[in-house]
Amino acid sequence: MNSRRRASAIIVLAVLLAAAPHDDAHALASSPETADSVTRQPGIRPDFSNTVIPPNIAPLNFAVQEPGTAYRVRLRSEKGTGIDIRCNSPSVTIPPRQWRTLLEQNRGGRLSIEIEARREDGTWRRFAPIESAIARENIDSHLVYRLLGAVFVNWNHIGIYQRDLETYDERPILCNTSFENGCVNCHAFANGNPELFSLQVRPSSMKPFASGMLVVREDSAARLSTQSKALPTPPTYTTWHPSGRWAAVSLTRSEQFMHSAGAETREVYDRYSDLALIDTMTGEISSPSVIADPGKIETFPAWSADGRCLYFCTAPIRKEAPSLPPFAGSETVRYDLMRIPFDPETLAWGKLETVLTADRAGGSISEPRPSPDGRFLVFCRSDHGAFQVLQSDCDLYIMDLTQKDELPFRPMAAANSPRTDSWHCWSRNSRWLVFSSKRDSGLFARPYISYIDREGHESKPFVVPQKDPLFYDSYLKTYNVPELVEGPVRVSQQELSRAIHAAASPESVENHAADAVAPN
Amino acid sequence: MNASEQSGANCASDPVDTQTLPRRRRAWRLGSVAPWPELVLLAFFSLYLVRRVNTQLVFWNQNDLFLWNRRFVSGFCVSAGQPCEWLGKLLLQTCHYDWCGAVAIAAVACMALLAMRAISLRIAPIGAVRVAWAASALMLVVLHSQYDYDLACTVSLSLALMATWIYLSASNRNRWIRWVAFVVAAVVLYYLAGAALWTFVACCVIAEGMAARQRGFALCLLVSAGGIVVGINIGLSFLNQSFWHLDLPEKSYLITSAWDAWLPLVVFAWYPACVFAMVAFSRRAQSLENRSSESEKNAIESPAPRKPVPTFFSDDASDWGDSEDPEDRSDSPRRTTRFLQSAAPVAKWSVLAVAAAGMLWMSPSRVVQKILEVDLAANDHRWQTVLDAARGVPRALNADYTNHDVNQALYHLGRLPEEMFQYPQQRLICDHGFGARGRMFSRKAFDVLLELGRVNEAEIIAHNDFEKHPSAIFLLRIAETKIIKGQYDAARMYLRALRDDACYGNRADIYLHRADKNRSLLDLDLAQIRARMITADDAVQTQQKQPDGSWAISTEGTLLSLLKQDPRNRMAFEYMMAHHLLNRDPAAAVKEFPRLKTFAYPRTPLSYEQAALLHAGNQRQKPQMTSFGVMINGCLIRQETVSQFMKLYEIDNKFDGFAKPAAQVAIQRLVGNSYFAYFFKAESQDHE
Repeated sequence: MNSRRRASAIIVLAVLLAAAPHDDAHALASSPETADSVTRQPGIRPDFSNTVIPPNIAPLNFAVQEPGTAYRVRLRSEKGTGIDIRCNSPSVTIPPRQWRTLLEQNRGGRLSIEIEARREDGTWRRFAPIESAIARENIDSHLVYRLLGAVFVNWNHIGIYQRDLETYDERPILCNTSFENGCVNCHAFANGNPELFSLQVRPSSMKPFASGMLVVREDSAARLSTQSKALPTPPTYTTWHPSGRWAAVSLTRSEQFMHSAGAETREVYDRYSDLALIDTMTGEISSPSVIADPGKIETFPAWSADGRCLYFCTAPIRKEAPSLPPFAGSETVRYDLMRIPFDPETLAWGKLETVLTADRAGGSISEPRPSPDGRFLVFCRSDHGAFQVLQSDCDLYIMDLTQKDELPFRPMAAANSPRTDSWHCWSRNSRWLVFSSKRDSGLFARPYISYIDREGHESKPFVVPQKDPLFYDSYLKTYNVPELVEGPVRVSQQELSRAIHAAASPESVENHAADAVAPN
Repeated sequence: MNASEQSGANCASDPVDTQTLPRRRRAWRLGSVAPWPELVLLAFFSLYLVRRVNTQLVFWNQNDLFLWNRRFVSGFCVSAGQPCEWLGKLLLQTCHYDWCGAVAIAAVACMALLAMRAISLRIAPIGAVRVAWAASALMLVVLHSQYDYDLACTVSLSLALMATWIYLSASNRNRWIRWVAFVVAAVVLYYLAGAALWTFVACCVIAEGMAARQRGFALCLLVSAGGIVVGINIGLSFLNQSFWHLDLPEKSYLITSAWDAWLPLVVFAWYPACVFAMVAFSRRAQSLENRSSESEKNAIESPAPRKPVPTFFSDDASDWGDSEDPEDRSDSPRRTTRFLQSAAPVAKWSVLAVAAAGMLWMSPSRVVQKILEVDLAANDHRWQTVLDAARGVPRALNADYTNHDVNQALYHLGRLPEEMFQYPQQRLICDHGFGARGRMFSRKAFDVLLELGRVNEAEIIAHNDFEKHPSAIFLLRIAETKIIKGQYDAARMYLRALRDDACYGNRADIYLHRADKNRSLLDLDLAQIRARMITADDAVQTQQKQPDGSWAISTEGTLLSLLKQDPRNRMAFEYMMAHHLLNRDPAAAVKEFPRLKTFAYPRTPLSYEQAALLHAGNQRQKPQMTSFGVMINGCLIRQETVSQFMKLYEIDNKFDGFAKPAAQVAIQRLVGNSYFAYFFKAESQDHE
């Protein structure tokens, strides 16, 4: 090798060494440096302390909220070698492979995070360890949600995205840039199956197309033309029957108005809403009066785990005074929780039953979601209305369905926050609950995960982790309707876009333009 | 190869024997191009941009969001042409700093011209190069005087011309090397600059196909370019775009012209057209020369010594590149040379005249400039500047573009009731749909509503506009509304996002620094707005049923509600009075006179006096006479105003009403631009 090549090799090596990351994770043969002990736990952001974590979750990277010039972090559990991290910045990045191994080896165990911070004078402070539990049960591998800005009236970019909870990978399922910035909403999966789901689309003012429901089966999507002269509005909230054939939908006409004073400016109320049952194979719709009472607003359908019962929320239709704007008095509307038996063989409906009144609940009930094992039902409660995501007092409540008479319910105190907590979803094994929470900013919802044990006790929730621990600090989009699914959604965006632009059936009525509400 | 082919426009070899050139010319031509013309142009261009165009207005018109963070930059990496868009935005940020932006823009434009000149010198005679250079320089100067011209176009053009220059530098290599160089340059250029690739391709194809006469190779280059475009697009489509977590802001200027969509096409097509013209001209001159007599052959076989290099702006006709000294001409007629000699000065002066006329015609629109000045001054709270600039806006545009800022400026200067009608007035802000018309109008509507105390309504406008066109000014405004409402966590979200903005980040830093120290985020302005903010929800009370059955917010309702909740809200009072005056409802204005005491006006404002007298006249009421003077509903009316009002009756009698143009002229002469004139002019229009 001549001298020039040798010199080049040395230079390359030197550059590589210089560029090597300073923050590294390795099993240190640490020198016995002394550190002063601090009795309290350190502040970390996001707060992953004292919670229950799924064994298959992506690394919970965090930023240490204590001053320091360098940090040492040790993750320990009963089994395995643990993870040691040294970094000069407060942001701690946990190596994925070692993390996965540690959690897998310690299912049902505990995870301890010890943090030390170096002061400016070179001495170290050791904080009390942060303890969390590692659950035995996995969480569903993917989370599907809608991402949109803090929409007040106009919207721009909206999309349905899926996030692999075991990594940080996020991919679009459908961005509205592929259909002229229309609105996409109300995605609903059948039993957490990523290959059977529906979503609703509405046009924007840029280019009208027929509103409607898309049904996706495996890799193909088809528009289900559900508009007919009998239906006043396109479907909104959708729940799939466990059989995967029927979907119960709400046909809701919502309107928005703005408060001129108060913390939350936006408000949405239902002018009318009925339920309908759609046969997704034939497109046939039935809307019997038991679930479509003209004197009532029925919304938020949810099938029971065995498909033999439909839960939904109802309130009397409010009489609007002609001399006042239509929204006057909407703050008085409160929804009760109802259920009605259903026979999948004969498609017959049973007798309507009140599960919980708004009076007994102390507020308006919305979004009932039974657990897949049929034991519990989680619902939202807020002061009034059914658009709970805009109610700052909206909290999650859990009801035990196994009791015979009056079903007991209680607030999920460990999961709730002083701000809006809503849009919850169960994992297939009924151990995890994902919901949207605005606890951080009051404006942008983030997906939070909480463990629910067999007795229905919830753990302190933690936010879905991101590779950059400070990602949520300046991310100006809100996570809407997080839904857990058991695998990745495979249908392509091109296929969905094709289905959206496919011609609607002759029975379709006029398009619904962008004056309807984009749920937030 | 004969001499004619040698001296032709052949980019494969330098036609000039450089060893015989004077040293100055050698420096000029020996593989480098001395940038003196560009440096001179840079100085004048920068001065022009600062003094005539005002780069801060360019920034104000075009700026949306430019964040110094990886997430924002990475959003520009996933589509062809986006990196140059990012560079264009970066260039735009420098415009915020006046001279810095002017010099930066001029430098980028001059780089393009330098590359253009270097390329042209390889393929055309020096005279043609000068004409093309001058025309291109003029074009760039004119384009940059448009407030909606996208700076990314110039950046892309510069890169394309640089790439062309590099490619032509390898023109004496074999075809394979040239093809590889072309492909590499095209790949890089298309990814960086997008459509500007076709400028590069066109120049290369013309150089190879026409100048070097290698048509097959030129076709190969063209096909390769097409393949590169398709390949890069397919490659980029595989990138996971959602990973970047950011929707790039769509271009949304405050003011755009009808033909701004065509400007990139003009920019990218211009230079290939110049190259084509230069090569065609050279070939035409060459073919004419080849047809001349045997004396030309003799002259070429024993070449005449080269003339010294002329100065750049020489009028010598031989600057057109004719290698012969005119004194050495043979006796045989040289039609080409005579034609060139006679036509050159005429052509040159004609081009200059047309160019000058074009520049004057295309110079920055003074109206657009004034509108932007008004808007920027209003944003910066330079109220007197608002009034001064507003006078330069034609009346027809005033209603939309300046009326609201003028009223706001007058209010802040304490002159709204006195001088309101000295400026054209059409309608009063408080139109909640006003923001739907674009960012400029959103800003105006937001500022007025916020200052009035209707914070939630301002918030709606801010969020709507930000959703449609993410911008730094609305990030800041949203953060301020959250601060006013006490929603500090939400404010922090927006401030953290804004902190990375190149020009507005320092303001976010100040707020965040205060937040970190647990100090109040409320500065004086925001604290005053919070004091005026309504606290009782009046959404129901302020709605008004329209004739078509729909409901809309009532301007009067919102202003009255403000006064009901805070009777000391001076802005609400003056705007409410303005609303009544604009609606020609002096009775309603007079009804509010008892509120005047709250605001301690030194005397009854002129417009209110005039409204009071009109009301008295309408009601056939005799005003109350006191020892102080005329009183109407507790307010003293000056004698001068009363006298003017009495003279209006004379005009009425003389012209039998106020509808006639002569009556209007007389009113104008009597009372000038005041409420009287407004009232009777509007009345006369009603009668028409």
